Amino acid sequence: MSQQSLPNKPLRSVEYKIVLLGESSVGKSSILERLQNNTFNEDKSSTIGAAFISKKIPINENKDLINLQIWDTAGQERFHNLTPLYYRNANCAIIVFDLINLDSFKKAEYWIDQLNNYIEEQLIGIEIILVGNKCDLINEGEECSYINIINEFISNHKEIKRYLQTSAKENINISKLFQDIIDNIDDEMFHPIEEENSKNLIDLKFKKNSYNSTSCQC
Amino acid sequence: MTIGIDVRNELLMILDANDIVRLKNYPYNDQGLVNDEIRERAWPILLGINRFLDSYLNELYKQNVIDWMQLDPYTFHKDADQVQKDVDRSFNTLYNTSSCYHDKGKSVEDLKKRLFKLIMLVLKAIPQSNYYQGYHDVALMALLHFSDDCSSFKFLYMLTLKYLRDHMMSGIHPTIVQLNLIPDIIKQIDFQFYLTVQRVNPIYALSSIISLFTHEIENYQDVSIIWDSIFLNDDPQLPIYLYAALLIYYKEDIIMDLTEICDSSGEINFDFDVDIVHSVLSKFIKKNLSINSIDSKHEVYKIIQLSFNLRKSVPMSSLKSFKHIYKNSFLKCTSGSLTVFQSLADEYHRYEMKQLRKKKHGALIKRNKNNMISLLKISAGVGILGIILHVTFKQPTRFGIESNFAKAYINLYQSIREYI
Ligand SMILES: Nc1nc2c(ncn2[C@@H]2O[C@H](COP(=O)(O)OP(=O)(O)OP(=O)(O)O)[C@@H](O)[C@H]2O)c(=O)[nH]1
Ligand SMILES: [Mg+2]
Repeated sequence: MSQQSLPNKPLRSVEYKIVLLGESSVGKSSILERLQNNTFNEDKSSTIGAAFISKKIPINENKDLINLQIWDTAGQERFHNLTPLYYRNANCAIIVFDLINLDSFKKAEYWIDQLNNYIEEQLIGIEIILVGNKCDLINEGEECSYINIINEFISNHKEIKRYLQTSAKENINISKLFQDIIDNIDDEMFHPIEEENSKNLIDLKFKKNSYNSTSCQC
Repeated sequence: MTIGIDVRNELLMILDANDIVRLKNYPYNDQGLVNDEIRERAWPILLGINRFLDSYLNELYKQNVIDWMQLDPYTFHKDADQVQKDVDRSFNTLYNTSSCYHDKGKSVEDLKKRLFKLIMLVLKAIPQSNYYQGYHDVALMALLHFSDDCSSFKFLYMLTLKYLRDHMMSGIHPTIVQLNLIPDIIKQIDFQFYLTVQRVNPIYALSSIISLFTHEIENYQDVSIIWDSIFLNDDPQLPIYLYAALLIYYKEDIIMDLTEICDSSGEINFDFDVDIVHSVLSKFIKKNLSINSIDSKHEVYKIIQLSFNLRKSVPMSSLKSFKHIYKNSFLKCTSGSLTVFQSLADEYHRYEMKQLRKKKHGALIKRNKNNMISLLKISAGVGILGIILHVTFKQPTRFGIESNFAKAYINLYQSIREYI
């Protein structure tokens, strides 16, 4: 879509997969709504199972095209067994917690453990980004009440690439969050668009074989 | 429109005469039960709430309300926290499209409190029930369809026991095995389409199935008509067929979306990226039956008809995946009693135990495997040692050290025997 509205056709593109993890109601869907429509909706309904959005972002004066494919997962614990289905192909995991809810931070720790196990087992790389959301609820000049716990955790977990405080409500740091991701996409991941069709076919075949429709772990 | 009035009058007559048999056998038509006034009277009857059950539930309600007023929500039921989070986010399209004739002029804040209480009371009334995200949308329908909270309670209680119990276990497995029926049905009807659909785990249907379509179909009227079809047929299997019918009905659109995203060359290519297939399948209902769709009522009627046909031509018991459905699942045992709920909970508990044992067993095998490897290494070492000793013993004894070697060798051998 954005492709057509711009004068030149991009020469290279990349599919970059992101998954959002974190406790229910920390604001995962709200962050994505900010990214997608730049809106905030107090009454946004909870996510059941998972939701998917994709966004095309041209960069380098439209020479390159990034296609972000993002899975938004459900926060409730009973759906956790399903989550590997969504981080299986991810390049990047954004782990979200609520800055005024310590329990939600414990859940973030849980997700980072899960991901570490998965990364170790599969010998793959998933970039891990930690996000403390709802920073608008912290009074100006004050800090999150459990900032020490967060800092200690981060210093003990070198696999966390970045940590950001955001607010989906007040639109704080949301575009920075995704800009950083985009800026850090490995140049080698891009492939020329002319070859895309033939290349896609090969990729898809490969994926088909590596995919097992009964792989749900529940 | 005269048909509508006829149907309405006829249904009212049946209800006035309290003719339960005739109501249950009322042929399904494109109006469903026509309006909310009739639904409020007919739904409880169709769910099997008779006079006896009604007075029992009235008592139960009263009792639970007393507890509710005395306890704080978190003592009242363990899932209060999650319920609150979802209730706070419940009032969107479904509510906005409702005719909601009972609740004109009432504030959303007030409705939120009542919805929270309703869910909590039903959870409390069914021991061992577990709340899940999506149930709040079902409960909202119950709240909006009845003029008083006790009636909403009675309705939601029976609905939960009869149509939702598989989803209320402590884990999600009984639900997941249900979803596998959907591709199996498609397979019997449209093999080519099945090849696309079976590429992904049928989790895309999760939200529709556990919320009885309330989380996916945005229009209150459309959901009401679908519920009419389920209750009039008294058929807990119907939601699965409805979902399969939706897939088949919107197949062209689904394939089009897939090709558009996956294949810019315009060639039809069924070899789609799995994430894309999953995402298109989890979105197609919202996309096609949105609040903006023209004449969605007509489409919903056709989908319901299709689901009836599917049910007739592909009986669930003929499907491979039906074997994995729990014995006390609402798909196999239509009675909606507390006893069956408990039996299902027991059945699920046994499954969990089995999984746990499997896991432990797996870990044990893994450990044993490692032990075996070290054992092999030791035996190899011992073997080599043996050869060395053998060779040494053949030599004339020089320092008397060899006998110590021999002792050590025997000790080692014995300790390995013990270990095995
Ligand atoms: N004050 C404040 N509220 C927020 C912010 N982001 C989200 N919320 C609110 O928090 C609630 C939960 O937001 P969601 O985006 O639905 O949360 P989620 O993580 O997707 O939750 P699940 O779908 O249940 O896993 C909503 O009522 C939002 O309005 C924020 O930055 N600041
Ligand atoms: Mg969400």
